[in-house]
Parts: sequence; structure tokens; C-alpha cells
Amino acid sequence: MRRLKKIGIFLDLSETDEFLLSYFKKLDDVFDFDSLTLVHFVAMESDSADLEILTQQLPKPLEELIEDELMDLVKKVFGTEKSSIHIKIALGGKLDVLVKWVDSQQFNMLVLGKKAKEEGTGVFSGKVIRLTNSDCLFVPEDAKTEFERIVLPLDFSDYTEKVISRGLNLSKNFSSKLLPVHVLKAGFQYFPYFKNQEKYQKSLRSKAEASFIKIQKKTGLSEELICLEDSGNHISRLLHEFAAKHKANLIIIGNKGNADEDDLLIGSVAERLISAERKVPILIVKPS
Amino acid sequence: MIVGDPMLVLFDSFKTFVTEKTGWLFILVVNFFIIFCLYLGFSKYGSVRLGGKDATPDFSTSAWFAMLFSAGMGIGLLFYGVAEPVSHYAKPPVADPFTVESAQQAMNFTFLHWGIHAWAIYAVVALSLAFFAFNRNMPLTIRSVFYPLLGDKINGWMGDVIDIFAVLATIFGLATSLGIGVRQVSGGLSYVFDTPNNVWVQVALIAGITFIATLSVVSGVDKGVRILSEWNVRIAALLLIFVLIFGPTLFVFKAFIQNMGTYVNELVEVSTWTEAFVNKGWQGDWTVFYWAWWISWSPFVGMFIARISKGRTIREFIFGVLLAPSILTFFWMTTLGGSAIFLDMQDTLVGGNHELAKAIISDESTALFVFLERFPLKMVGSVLGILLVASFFVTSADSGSLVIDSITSGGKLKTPTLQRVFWASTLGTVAAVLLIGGGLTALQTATISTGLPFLIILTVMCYSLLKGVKQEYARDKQLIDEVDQKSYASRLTKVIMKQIDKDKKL
Repeated sequence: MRRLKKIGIFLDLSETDEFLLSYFKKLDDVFDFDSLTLVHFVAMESDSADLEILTQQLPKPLEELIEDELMDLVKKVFGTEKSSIHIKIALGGKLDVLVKWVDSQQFNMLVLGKKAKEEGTGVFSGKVIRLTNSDCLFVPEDAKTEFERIVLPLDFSDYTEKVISRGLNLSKNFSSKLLPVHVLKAGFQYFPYFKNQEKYQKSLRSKAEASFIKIQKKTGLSEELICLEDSGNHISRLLHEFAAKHKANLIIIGNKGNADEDDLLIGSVAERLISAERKVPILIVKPS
Repeated sequence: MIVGDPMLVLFDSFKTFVTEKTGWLFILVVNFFIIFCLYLGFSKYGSVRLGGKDATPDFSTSAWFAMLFSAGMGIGLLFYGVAEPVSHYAKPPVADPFTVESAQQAMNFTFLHWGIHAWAIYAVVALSLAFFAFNRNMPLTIRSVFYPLLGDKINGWMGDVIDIFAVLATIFGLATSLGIGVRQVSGGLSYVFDTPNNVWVQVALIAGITFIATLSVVSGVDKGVRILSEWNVRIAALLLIFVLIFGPTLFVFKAFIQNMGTYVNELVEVSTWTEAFVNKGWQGDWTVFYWAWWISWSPFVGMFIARISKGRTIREFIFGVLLAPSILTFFWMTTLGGSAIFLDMQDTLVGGNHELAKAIISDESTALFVFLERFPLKMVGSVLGILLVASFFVTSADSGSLVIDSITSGGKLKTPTLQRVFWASTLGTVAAVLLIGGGLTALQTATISTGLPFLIILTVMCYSLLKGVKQEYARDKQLIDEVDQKSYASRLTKVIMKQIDKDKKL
């Protein structure tokens, strides 16, 4: 596992920024990251009339002005101007250009926020999460800044190992409890003539446990696997309920499951979690 | 030649084995390529642009068409332009020879071999190369295309294997073209000037022309080659117009329309015909050989088409590449081969016994010159023909070795001179060795046997391309949906006011 060194935080000049920075500070206190880049995307095209009106009578370039604003915020949250903090203001209104830049920086993790109140927010964060190749930590505004219990949904795809090692890394630093969980897919509604539902579930369970033991050996994870039976709802719903029941503070999930189509940039479970989850932060692990 | 005869038998039996046992696979898969291309072109993925959504084409549409035409022009059209239609007319796979039916069938089979099937093969390779090079910033080599399936493993042995097959296919495909080109030059020289026509003259010609090609490769910046290849197309056009004007002009126009109609109408039937009820081995010599030949040419033509197609949408690309060069090729074939059939049929009206057709099919390498003899200024026409073949030869050898050079160096465009010389002379050597070893059969066997593994690589390539294109489409969709600008503008305004206030206080 690569050590977490280089972090990017997406700020959008709203109230969420302060929350996001203070959430992140807790991580920084433990990990002491080498470099932290505050990324701001100016969501207006450089030739748009609105932007021109806004920037007409500025005493200094817009870029500098936003930098000052973000630095003020850093001082407020961290107390000092940290030397490891850099600022990137993306002008031009081209999201693909920004994502390309972000990927070229090879951040170990991107931190993005989601507002609690307003409807339809998180759209921009969602886009970045879908487009980037970097791991993304998606933090809803109502999230608690704690890392006591971490849910690791495992589907035994290519991502599973990475999900576990991220979890181990965090639990080592925060002494958090890991909850590895696997959903046993039933799918009986598609097979009306299914012989023995119980037997089928049993065989799925033993298969999952066998794969889990293999991965435990590989990664050194000691916790027991918790198997959830598919209730017919979407897996994301099961995971959400599970996290709420166990008062989890973080869900670490792979970018895509085994069955997801090429059309999806992130898997359906991760997609639904980021759009529906309002309390628990989600760390999405991308292919390296 | 001591090695000649046993080698010939070996080559021939191997060729028969591959075409007999796997011919159906070629027929099936090449048809699948057309369906795949049409699917990409008509589906929502057709809107994906090569080079990203903001890319603009490097060339105007008319220049792009012209370049596609020139990609399709080559030694093959000169060699088979007269020979193939007349051969099907005289030795048809099913109909009776020298009949109206066999004439129509001859044109139809020729169109099949040179039409959208060939271009669908090129389109698959070119589109894959262009997509992964321009949209994913990967090197312009065949292995890059397999990234969605193999991931970083393309840089390991699997990628090496894929590129080696691409290089082998290109070498043998080019060597076949060079081989038939040199036979035609030698045949033409002997026909016009009565020089001897044997393997050694041909090998000497290969040596000479390869030397010229090597010189031009070494001289770098292939400026000479570029001028030469531009002139190739111009002279070929001149030849076409010459035959059109002095030949049966009205017939050519009428036949062109009729042949196109027959082609469209019978496309499904002819392109899925597998000789199931007539086993004459005809298809192995023609259709399967062509499919294998086009497949082995595909890295070469594909790279060229990829380079000129940045900024096109997949839809533009598919329909441009499938249709534009095919239609021009159809016109070429109708003008040369169709006219030859027409002249032969005219002869029978005045008591002839198909002397022209028989003379043409007796030796494919002199077919063009036998045909041109029927025209005024026959000396000029034939010499022009010989020069044209020779010059196509130089440009193919030259650009072919540059392509191989680029694949073997991992997609780089600037490579050491010595490496270029090596590949240019290797091409010539392979062509010469194959010619000495077993003539055209050896060339065809080499093409078919490298075509087969590459056929499988191309099939996998389709799947990989589809995966990549789907992802690209999903990304494009993310970028199109608007971000809420209004709330952002109000936030930004707030920040600006706050900062201005702060500055005032200071």
C-alpha cells in the first residue's frame, strides 16, 4: 500500500468549504500529509458575459483573489498558513481539462464535499468522482469527524484487495474497527423454478467465505466477514442500512463491481451511495 | 533451384489446409467487421469524436477523402484491375464461362473483394488505433488497443506478442504486394521490350527498387516519397481517364451504375457464400486470400488512416472510410476490368474466340499490358503502367518499412536511421526469398498464414474498442451536463465583494 502523501481538496467557495477543511484537518493531524492542494474550479467559461461583469473592476486578477479567500479559510481552520498547502484555481470552465490535470498530479486521494440542505447538490462532486482516476473521499456535510467504525463492502472483484488495504491503513492510524461485509445475491425472483433457495444461499456463503479467507491471508485482515442476505432491494440500500445500524463513520468501496457495464464510469452501488448517502463519508477506490 | 520445388509443395499444401479448414472463419469474421462498423456508426457511440470532444479535424473533408482514396490505391489495383474481372469472367466459380451471367458475376465478385469488406477491416484497425492514440494518449501501436482488456500488461510479453504479429502480418502483406508488383514490372518489361522474365530478373528488380526505397528512407523527412506518392495518384488518375476516354466510355458509365446496383442487391448473398455446394477451391484462391491480404495490410493502412482522421466523429469516420474509397475502387475496376470484358465480348461479334480474355488470364502479371495494347499510344500507356507500378513499389516499401519501424520502436515516429535501413532491406529480402522459394504461391501462403492469427487479434480488438468507446461516451455525457452556474455566480460574487472590502480596510 502506498502511503497517503499527496491530497487534493475540491473547494467551491460555499459554507461547505470550512466543514470540509476541518474534517480533513483531523485526517491531517494523524497522517501529516506531505502536500495538500486546494482545487477550485471556476465554473464559468472564460468568455462568458457574467464572468466579465463580475471581474470588470477587480483590483487584482480573479485567480489571486480566490487564492486569498482560500488562504483566509486555511488560516481560520488550521490556525497558520501551512507551507505544505498549494492552491490550484482552474479557469476556463473546462472540466475535462481540470480532471486531466488532477490525474496528472497523481493525488493519493481527492476530498470532495456535499451540502446537506440544498437540493441537487453534489452534482459537480459526482462528476469529478466519475471522471477522475484518483481515489475520492466524498464527505456529506452532516458527517461526523470520527473514524471509529469503517464498513468495507467486499464483492471479491479486482478492487477488494485495495479496499481492504485502505481500510487497514486507516484503522492502524485511528484504531478503528473494520466491518468487512459481503452481500449474498439471491436473484430468486428471476428463477421461479429454483430448487432449493436455502441450499443456494449456503453455497454462496461458503464460496464467499472461502474467497475471504484467501484474501485475509494475503492482506492480514483479522476481522470476520459479515454476510448480508439480499432482501430484493438494491445493494446500496442494504449497505446504507448496515452502516446506519452499526453507526459507521466511513464506507470504503471499489469503483466498480463485477457485473458493471462499460457504460458506467463508476459502479451502480457506488453511484447510488454517493447520491443517496447523507451521513456517512464514502471513500471510492479507483484502479491504480 | 533446389529449394524451389519441395518448398512449393509445402507452401501449397499449407495454403490449401488453411483456406479449406478456416476459410469459413475468414468469411464469417470479415462480415462481422462490417456489422460492427455499422453498429458503431449508427449507434449513439457514433457521436464520439476522435481526439476528444473539442478536437477539430486536421484536414478538410475533401482533402480527407482524397487521402483515403490514395490509401486505397496501390499495386494491387494495377495488378488485379484488369486481371481479376477477366479471370472471373473466363473462369467463373459457378456460372458458365464467357457468358453475360459470368460477366456480371465477375464484376460482382471483384466488387466484393475490393469493396466495403476490405475497408471494414481497415476501419476496425484504423479506428482502434486512432481512438487509443488520440483519446487516450497512448502510443500509436497495435498493443495500445488492448489496454481495456489487458491493462498495464500490454507493456509485458502479451503486448510484445501482439505487436510481433502485427509486424509479421505487415511484412508478409507488404512482401506479397512487392512480390506481385515486381512480377508485373518484370512481365511488363518483357512484354514491351522483350527482356527475359524470370525469378532472377525479378530479384534484381527487387534489389534495385529496395535500394531506392532505402535511400529515400535514409534521406529522412521522406520528402521525396511524399512527392512520389502524390504523383502516383495523379498518374493513376491519368491512366484511368485515358482508358475512360479511349475505351468504351458510355459502357463504363452504364456498367458502373449497373454493377453498383447488383453489388448492393446481392451483397449479403455473395459475401456469405462459402462454396458449400460447389467445391472447386475457387474461394481459397480469391476471397479468402484477399481477406487475409487485407488483414495483413491492416496495420499499415490503419496507421495511415488513423493519422489523418483526428477530429472526425466515429460516424463520419465509419461512413467516410467504408464508402468513399470503395466507390472509387468500383469505378476503377469497372473502367479497367469491365472494359476488358466489354472488348472481349465485342470481339466475339466479329468472329473472335475470346483471344483477349485468354491472353489476359494466361499471365496475370502482363494482363494490364495486354489490355493497354488495344489502345492508341500503346507504348506510352505500357511504359506509364510499368513506371507507375515501380513507383508504387517504392512508396509502399518505403512507407511500409516506416510503419514497421514505428511499431517495433513502441509507437515512436522518429527512429534511428540504421533501424530504418534494416526494416527497408528486410522487406525486400523477404519478398525476394519468397519469390525464389515458391513464387506467388509462397507469397500467398505467407499472407494467409499470418492473416489467420491476426484475424483473431482483430476480433478481440473490436471488443476492446467497444469497451473504450463506451467509456468515452459516458465521460462525454458527464462533461455535457450543465453545472449549476447561477448558484456558483452568486457565491463568486460574495467572495469578490468580501475580498474587495478587506482590501479597502487595509
